Amino acid sequence: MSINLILPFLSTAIMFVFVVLVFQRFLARRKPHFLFWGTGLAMFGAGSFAEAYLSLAWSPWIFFAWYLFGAALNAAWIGHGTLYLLMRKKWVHGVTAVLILGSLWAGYLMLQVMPRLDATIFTTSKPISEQYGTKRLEAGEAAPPDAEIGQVVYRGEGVTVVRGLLPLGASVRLTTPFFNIYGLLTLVGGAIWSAYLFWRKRVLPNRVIGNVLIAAGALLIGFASTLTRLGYGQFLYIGELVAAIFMFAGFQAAAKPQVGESALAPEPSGD
Amino acid sequence: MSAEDRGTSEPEKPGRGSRMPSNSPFYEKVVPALLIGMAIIMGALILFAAGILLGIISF
Repeated sequence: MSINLILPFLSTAIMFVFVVLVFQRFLARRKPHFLFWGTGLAMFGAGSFAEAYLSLAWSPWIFFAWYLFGAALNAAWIGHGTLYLLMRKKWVHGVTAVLILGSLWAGYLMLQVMPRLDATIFTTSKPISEQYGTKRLEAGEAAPPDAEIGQVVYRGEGVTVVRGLLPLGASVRLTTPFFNIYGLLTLVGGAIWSAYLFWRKRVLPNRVIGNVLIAAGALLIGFASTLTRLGYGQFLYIGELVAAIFMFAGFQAAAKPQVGESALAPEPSGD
Repeated sequence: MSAEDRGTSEPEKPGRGSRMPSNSPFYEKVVPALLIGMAIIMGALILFAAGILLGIISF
């Protein structure tokens, strides 16, 4: 068995343990940030599992889970947990409503596109993130060497495309950058901000290191995904595994109790 | 994700391990450099995603 087939399953196993630990904390403390972190991490785990499954076989509903939870929603939900922790103000509930409605809308758009998936181009020889999108080829633009080229009618016009599983112009793809920008800002930005607050006060080094690891892990996922879409898919699975390890280690380090830390934690910016 | 909060509010003196080591090059140089570097990368990734959203970058 190739190492590339084992890595996504390892990432899934790490995320499973991570999710259980975070939900245990939610059950013990009933704080909303644990609920959003746990839900977002469960989505991340579902995405990792779907990716691992799709490296072995095709299933449209596994692809549904991969795109919706793995590609679109998970970072935004994890990051929203951080927003709940850092900004304890009422307007955060409004953002929660927008996030939930937006996620439902993305799910609806994904359901709508399911009958139009082009499964004939699916192959287990490439990561799913290299084959999900149909890309329009402009005049004179060269296609990647191993790409499947086709002709489709788009908005009444015949266009040449690199074929992908999702049809050209699928509306659900427009939602993904919104979720990912929000996720990056809150998840990575929130971790960097938390680390900076502790660093500035010169306290709780475990939380400084923990938040640095969390931010680095989240950025690694972004990097690995971007490299994959630029044609360097060989880094995706190892990138995701290292990211899962970093985030898990960061959470464990940040959550490690320290004597006297309650008086030293940064104050949230609201009531 | 960020550090989890603690439930108590009783002020206590910082205990062993809850303060950064003084004069540590790791905390004085490496950590700030990492934070600034990651903030720059985050900004670049956000601009990249915004470029896709606005149709400036074809993906």
